Amino acid sequence: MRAPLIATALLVAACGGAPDGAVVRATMALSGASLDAASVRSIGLTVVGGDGASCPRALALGHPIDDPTLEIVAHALFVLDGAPKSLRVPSGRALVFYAEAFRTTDGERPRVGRGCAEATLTGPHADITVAITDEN
Amino acid sequence: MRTLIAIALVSSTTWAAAAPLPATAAAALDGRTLVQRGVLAYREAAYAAAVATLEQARATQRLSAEELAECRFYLAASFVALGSMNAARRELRALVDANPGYELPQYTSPKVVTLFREVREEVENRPRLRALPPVARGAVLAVRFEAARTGGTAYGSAFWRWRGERAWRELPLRHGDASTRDDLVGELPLREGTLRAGDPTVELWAEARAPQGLAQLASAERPLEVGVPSAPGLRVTRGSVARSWWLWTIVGAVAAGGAATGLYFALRPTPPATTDATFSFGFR
Repeated sequence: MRAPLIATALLVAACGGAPDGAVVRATMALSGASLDAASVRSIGLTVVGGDGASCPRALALGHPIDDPTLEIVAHALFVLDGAPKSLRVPSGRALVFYAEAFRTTDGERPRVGRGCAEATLTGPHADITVAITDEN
Repeated sequence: MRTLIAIALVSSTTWAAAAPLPATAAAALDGRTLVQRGVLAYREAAYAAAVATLEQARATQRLSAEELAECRFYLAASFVALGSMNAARRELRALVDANPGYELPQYTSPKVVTLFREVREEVENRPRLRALPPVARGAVLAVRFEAARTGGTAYGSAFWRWRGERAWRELPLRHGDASTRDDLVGELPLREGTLRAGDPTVELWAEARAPQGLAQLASAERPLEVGVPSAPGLRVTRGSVARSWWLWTIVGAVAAGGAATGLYFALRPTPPATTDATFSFGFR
């Protein structure tokens, strides 16, 4: 594991001028990532709110939509085609961003991984990062 | 060397898939077009895509009432097709709430028709809460709500705040006189909190529990607004000189009138604040 990591660090350094994020992503790809990012073609995102909404609860069932006590604020299927992936959501309240990864662009089951993030957004724009973990 | 190339490929692919995305709006298409695309996706049995497109259409918040109804119906139908019945019920409930006389499109699937009928019956028999015109008396705002289809006695609370405040205050509602058992009344003590000069508006919502279920009027996210006059005794945060002049002129006029003349009431929903969230995804 260490050799490829050093190799990548050298590669990134050799390219020069790489932003900090590049190093982070290279490390992710080399640290034994079992979910191959290149094979993920779409992400199903469900934004959940309501009392007690949290990542543990969103991940407790197969899908948060199956929990009748959670409020589904928004739902979107993002095709990973390099275009911006944005969604307008309510601000000023605690939200849970539940994501599922699929191998096809139309979100065909079964999913290959899933992840979750929590945030309370303010202002007109916000960036959200969701880490998706392999389920296989 | 091969390892190095492979690593470079993995790194570049990961970068492409998960790079932070520029904050350009996803709603480049207008809501109406998105609804049409969503309906098309549903008809082509691409249900997940239909849900995504229709949710995006709704998020534009620029749909007409008819477009929103169509959007909700096809969302519900897509959820039924995906087996998410709770989500389908939620959409149909919102649809029937806003459009009590909604008629299903031709050739609706029997499963959707059955669910729609169930939801409509549930909505029609659900307790309702209706706001009656409030009355301002000095530093008190008397609010009254009519509860219907309660199946018994309803008990409820109103939640209120001055516009601009964060916290809601709960006011337990009491029953009106014996002849109108279903009336719920309360008096908001407007001396509590601090109104901003130039913006004497109370935000308000209410809920009531009854044997037949829960009834709610407006919500914390979409409260009713009640414009109230300023009155002696209210704590006012001073704004600009011009605003203060305006405010205190009204206070004087109301005090001189000695009554609730010159008051105005407006009940309208407040548009909710939103954020355009841009997503990036990491894999591990």
